Amino acid sequence: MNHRRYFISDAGALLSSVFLSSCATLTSNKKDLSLNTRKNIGSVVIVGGGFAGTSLARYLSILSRGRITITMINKSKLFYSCPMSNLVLTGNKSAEYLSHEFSSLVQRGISVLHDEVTYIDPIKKTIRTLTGKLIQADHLVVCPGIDLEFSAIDGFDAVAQRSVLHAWQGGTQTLALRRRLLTLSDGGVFLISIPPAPYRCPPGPYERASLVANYFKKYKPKSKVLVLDANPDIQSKKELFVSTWTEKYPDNIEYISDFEVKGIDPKRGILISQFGDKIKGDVLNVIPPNSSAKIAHQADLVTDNDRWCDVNWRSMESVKYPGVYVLGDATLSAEKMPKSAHMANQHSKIAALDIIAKLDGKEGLTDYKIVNTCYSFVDEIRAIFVSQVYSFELKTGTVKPIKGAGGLPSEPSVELGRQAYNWAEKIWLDSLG
Amino acid sequence: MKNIFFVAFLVTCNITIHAAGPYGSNLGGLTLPCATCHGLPGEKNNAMNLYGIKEEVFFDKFKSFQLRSDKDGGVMHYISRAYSDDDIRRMATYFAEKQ
Repeated sequence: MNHRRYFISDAGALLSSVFLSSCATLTSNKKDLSLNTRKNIGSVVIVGGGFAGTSLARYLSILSRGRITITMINKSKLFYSCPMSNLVLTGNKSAEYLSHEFSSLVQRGISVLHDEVTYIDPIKKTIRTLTGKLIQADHLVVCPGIDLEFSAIDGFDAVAQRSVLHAWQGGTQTLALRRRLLTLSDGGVFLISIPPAPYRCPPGPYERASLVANYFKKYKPKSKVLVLDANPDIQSKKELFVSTWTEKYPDNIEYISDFEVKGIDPKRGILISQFGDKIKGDVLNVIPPNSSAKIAHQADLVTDNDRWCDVNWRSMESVKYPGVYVLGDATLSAEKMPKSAHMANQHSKIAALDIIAKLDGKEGLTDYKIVNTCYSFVDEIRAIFVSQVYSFELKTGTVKPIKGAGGLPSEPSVELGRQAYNWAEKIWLDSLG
Repeated sequence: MKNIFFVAFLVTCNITIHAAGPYGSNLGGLTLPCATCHGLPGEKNNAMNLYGIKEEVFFDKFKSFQLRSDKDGGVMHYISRAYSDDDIRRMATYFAEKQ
């Protein structure tokens, strides 16, 4: 086997020349392209190119004014957005709406490798990839997102995974589930199961249920969505979802709590609960329990319940390995902090400020405030939201929601739907532009 | 004490300051989170770009979000309530100076 050994300073020059010819789809109108004109202060390798990884790469480049050699490694050649994907599932938006190129980041001088990280050494701050690249950096940033624990559900083997879809990680499964929805006969039952919290995007399954019910009401009025929730209650925006379902979709949606899917029988279309209860459906949309992605486990970054990575909230560094940062959904969430795209984006800004301060020999942040906003559609034009602001305090080392702030609207509206579309366009630009 | 830091910040503030103070250099711990929706200098946005807005306009607009009723409040109503008057003044000064 031909093992090639890349070090970051070489890889950066090589890859930026390769990718500079790509065209941008998300372009901001002000860029810092002044690479090589200032003294380089260090190197950063970013594992994962989701909302956290891309926005970190972008902000490291902008805030350092090109003084950092940045390499971001992401398996797929396109960025697939999970936010807004339920609108693609129900045909309100095309698949192209969700996919974005990394070309604007490349034009900033960031090396984007389409490869898979197979090994992380958190002490030497070294990573190895599937294609044999070995890269060492001053700081490692691990933002790999989530893996789905299929093994927690009996019968959810590789064969079953071809017919029982989750559509919870963006990309091809969204379209595959859409095809199931389209071929479902009027009167058919769509089962969606929600894993125990914490999981990625707390309101996401309820938004999906709402949009599928909206689709049924229009095109297959005898059909029904059955929401099987492993949790004792709706996890986000409860009153708004319940009132919408009661008023708008009384014949097309039903909610069942405390139903944790522990087994599946795909051939007979049956989901089995922790108590042995069985429910039959025609489309099975099972979201398995979530945990931080396997590479975070391999890197020894997981600290909590064998699932999540605890971080020092001042810097976003792993509590186990200073100089190794963990961002986004893989983190052990702070109090009332959801695993959301907006939060991942905010994590990246704190990490970028800390990394640049450290590389410049300065002190990092001693206080900050970060924001979360999650919109959910209840039909193709009306939306709701939940927002919260969190404050970091040095004396306690914790991030907490600020009392008196945050909240929800009184009802869904078209105006909030417009804001939700705008939010998506903006966070894509803030991450990839 | 906070005021002393704030005055010191104003005196030393320019485009390349690096000295850490409240919310870090360039108020990054306060202002960067806004960029997710509002963008960076010069970026066009669906939400209002904050850079270059006059201090008093920013301050009044921000306070008006705080004072709305929950019934009429959008996202910014709920977000704005997390910030003190000192925070808002810091942001107003910062965004007015950067464009």
